[in-house]
Amino acid sequence: MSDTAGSRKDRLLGILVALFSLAYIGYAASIEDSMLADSVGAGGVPLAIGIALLIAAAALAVKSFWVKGAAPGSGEGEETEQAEHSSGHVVAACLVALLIIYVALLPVAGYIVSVSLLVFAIAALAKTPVTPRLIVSAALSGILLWVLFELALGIHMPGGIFLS
Amino acid sequence: MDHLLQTISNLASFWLILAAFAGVLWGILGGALPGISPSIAMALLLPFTVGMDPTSAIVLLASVYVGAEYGGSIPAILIRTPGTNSAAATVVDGYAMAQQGRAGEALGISLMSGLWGGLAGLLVLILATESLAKVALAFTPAAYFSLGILGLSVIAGLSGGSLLKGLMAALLGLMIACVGTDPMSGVPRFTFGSADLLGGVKPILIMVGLFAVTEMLVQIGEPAWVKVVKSEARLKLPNWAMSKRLFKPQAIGAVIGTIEGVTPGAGGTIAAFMAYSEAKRWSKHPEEFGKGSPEGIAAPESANNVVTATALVPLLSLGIPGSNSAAILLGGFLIHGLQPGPMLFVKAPEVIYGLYGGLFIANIAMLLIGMVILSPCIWLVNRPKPYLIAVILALVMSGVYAIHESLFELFLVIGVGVLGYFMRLLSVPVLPMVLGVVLGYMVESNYRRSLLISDGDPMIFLTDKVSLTLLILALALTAYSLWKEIRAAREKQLG
Repeated sequence: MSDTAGSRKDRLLGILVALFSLAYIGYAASIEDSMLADSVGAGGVPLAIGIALLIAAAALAVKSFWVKGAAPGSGEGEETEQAEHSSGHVVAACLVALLIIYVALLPVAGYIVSVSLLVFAIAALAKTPVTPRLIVSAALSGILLWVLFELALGIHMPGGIFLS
Repeated sequence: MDHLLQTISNLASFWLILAAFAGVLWGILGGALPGISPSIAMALLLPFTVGMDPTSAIVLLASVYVGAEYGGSIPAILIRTPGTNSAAATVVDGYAMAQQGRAGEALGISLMSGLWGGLAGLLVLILATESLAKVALAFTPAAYFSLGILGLSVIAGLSGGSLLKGLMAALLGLMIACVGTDPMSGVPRFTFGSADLLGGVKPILIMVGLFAVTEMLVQIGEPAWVKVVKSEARLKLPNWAMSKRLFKPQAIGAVIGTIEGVTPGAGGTIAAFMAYSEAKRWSKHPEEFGKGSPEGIAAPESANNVVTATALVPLLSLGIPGSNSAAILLGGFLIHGLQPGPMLFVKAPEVIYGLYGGLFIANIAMLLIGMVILSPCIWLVNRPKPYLIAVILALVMSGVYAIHESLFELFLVIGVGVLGYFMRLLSVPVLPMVLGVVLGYMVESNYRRSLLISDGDPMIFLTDKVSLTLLILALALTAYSLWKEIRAAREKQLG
């Protein structure tokens, strides 16, 4: 019997989390107590949590070695599904990049411009044809959300270099 | 009786009525969009509640939950795509009725069953919560620690079949709760020199990231949902003869919804499927189920609406959120400096009675809005999905910025969204992590406070009778979950 995709994922997860928990334990052990410290100390509970996570992660990794099922399929259908998943991950990664750019742009370009660009870029990323309608919709989204937050709710949103 | 009178006195409050109607409207629209669960619809509104008065904020969020449960049945009936998980059981007979040209009748049955279910759940909530909270009022720090442990032990029910992964998620949540200034000595922990982290990571950021941002990251890679043909849908409420026929399945849904609602980790989806199955078993026409039976809609819709109220029993009485939506509602309480649990009845009873009154109004609002909202829902579902994702994300990011006007928190929410995406990919449940984040402070501070009282003697957790009872309950719950997982693994190997 060979590994299932699920058990491979579990093993990878177990190993990664175990490594993370080792680093966490190291950091928790280095927390220095103040004069006000109690018997447990500032690092006591995090240390216990780190050790518990290490044990759970190790158990998951070990379990993934002995819980094996049917061999994964190697048909055309599975390849197509994997390709679809991969393209989904790429789109998700691009979306994350867009969100990061949006946050970086916010103080410089201001709220209306940043939101309009974000809406435009996300719609374009999701394969919406770039038409005048999309551009107008994106611009309107930025203006409407600015009206909602700045005028209706009274929350100050960044003006950027244009409105400052 | 006093509680009932206080609840009734809240029914005339203008702001509560406004919050309930607005919440239900938002909930129905959100629930009607496949992929937008009640908790996501609530999470989107969470940042906007910051400036509101606490009672209106909580009523707004709870009303979203009520509205979303009905909203979820609209695409379930019209396009065979449940808008929410708990509407999945409605698909079977709802869509079959729609194919027979009875979509309007199916929607009417869903609406009325949701109304009766919601009101029945509210009655249970009012009667059960305070009695349970009175017991919890006598809690010592040791008992509170054990209550936290009991809360964490429900992760088994929230783990989606993998206890180890659920445990890991809960521990990661506890780790996040440890970030910031140590509650006892004031020493900074895991802040890496950042002043933004000294106050800790706010649960609201974790919830918005894990529920809203993660869902959008998943949705953008998935195909568009089917379009609705508008002429197919015109709401038709059940007549007297039909109402009599629906009474039994609605009552079955109410009983099952109550049991599943008060059980942390169970929730509306399980309740809906169980109610469907039991309604079929007790029906005079079981052969109609699956072919367009009105009872097949009434039972699950009644059950999932009962849960909107009964899921709040463990949250309000003990401070334990047993579902995603209850966790978001907990976030709403925390934003306003309120800690759900027994002390809430002492410190802010007006919020609780306001919530009871608001839930009543929300159910009436669901009926009124439900009768006129079909066309806007169909319009919304037919919008291009990329526009919806783009606007929802813009709204989420704006809402998070509005909380503290902090760019750091925006980056944090994106990071948590990415973490949630990987968790989804690796089949790690997110709710135990939320539970860890919200219960972490309670567990740690009461553990250390108890040890201070007992001069470091851990026996305090066993000598305190309430603490001991709660620990035994937690142990029993964990053992039961372990036994269930081992049995399921054996059955899988054999079969």
